[in-house]
Amino acid sequence: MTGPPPRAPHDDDPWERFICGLAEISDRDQETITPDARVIEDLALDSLALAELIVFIDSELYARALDSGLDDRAWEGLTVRQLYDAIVPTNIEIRA
Amino acid sequence: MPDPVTPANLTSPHAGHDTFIAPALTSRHVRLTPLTPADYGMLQMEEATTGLGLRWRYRGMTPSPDQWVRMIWDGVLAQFLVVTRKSERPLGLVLVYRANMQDQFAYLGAARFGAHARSPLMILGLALFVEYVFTCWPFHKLYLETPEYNYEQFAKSIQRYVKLEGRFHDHSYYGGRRWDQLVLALYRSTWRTEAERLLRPEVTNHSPTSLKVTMPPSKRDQPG
Repeated sequence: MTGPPPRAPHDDDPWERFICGLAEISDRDQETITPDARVIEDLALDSLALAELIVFIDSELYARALDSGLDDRAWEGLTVRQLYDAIVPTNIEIRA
Repeated sequence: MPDPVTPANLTSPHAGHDTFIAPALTSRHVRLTPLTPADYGMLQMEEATTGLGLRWRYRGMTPSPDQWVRMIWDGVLAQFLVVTRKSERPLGLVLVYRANMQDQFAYLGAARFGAHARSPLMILGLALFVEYVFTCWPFHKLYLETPEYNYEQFAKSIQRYVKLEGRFHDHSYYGGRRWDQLVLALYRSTWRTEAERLLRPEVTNHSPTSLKVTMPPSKRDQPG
């Protein structure tokens, strides 16, 4: 059989890809990360881990919205779903 | 047969390459800008009027203006402000100091200004700076000295990058108790494997967006 290896299901799903990265950075199982989890209070991401998350989003997802509002973003109380909605546009393009 | 380990190929991932690659001072979100006298007032106010003055180098002391200027450059090899690209707002200060060129180590310092305590952008600026330092000088490792009350905020995630190599027990006093002083070490080899977690590819000197200057053949052909 030739050709590229099949992509894992999450490779084409921006939400799953986002959660996959978040799980790796927070050192948690993907199943334990819920949309309502707060990135600082519940996932215990410190500013170093948040920086890793920003780079992950920049590198792996089409995150145009990160250009705006990052300076003044309040991270306290921010949930996984809110962060995703804020940074990932509707018409997302997954980077190869 | 592998290449012999020489100072040249220990010092840079670009050693042996034919291009001069300038370290990036700008990433998508932040920029490193040199500290100038125009910044002194802002920096002194940050140190004197926020928690930074207690947590960091002066530990509550307020040097005279002349003394303060001398102290902020004492032993410094390189020093930059980290500012946001969008608003040019200062986020913090990064510096490398007490460089030992014979044994190839130096000390890394970073201070985040109080209003941005949770902002991850300062970390992105620090990552740019570490890349800059390892590109410009052949340091084997960079030490970070920190009281344990500053370490706690990073204790979990920083372990990927640094090794705890020293602990001075009950070293310093603050707030009615004594605190340990920790010495962390960031190795060049560790940075090379982990930097991509904090730097996008275009700022790690491997991308066309970095300034590249091709050496003329006459220089390129000269032996080591």
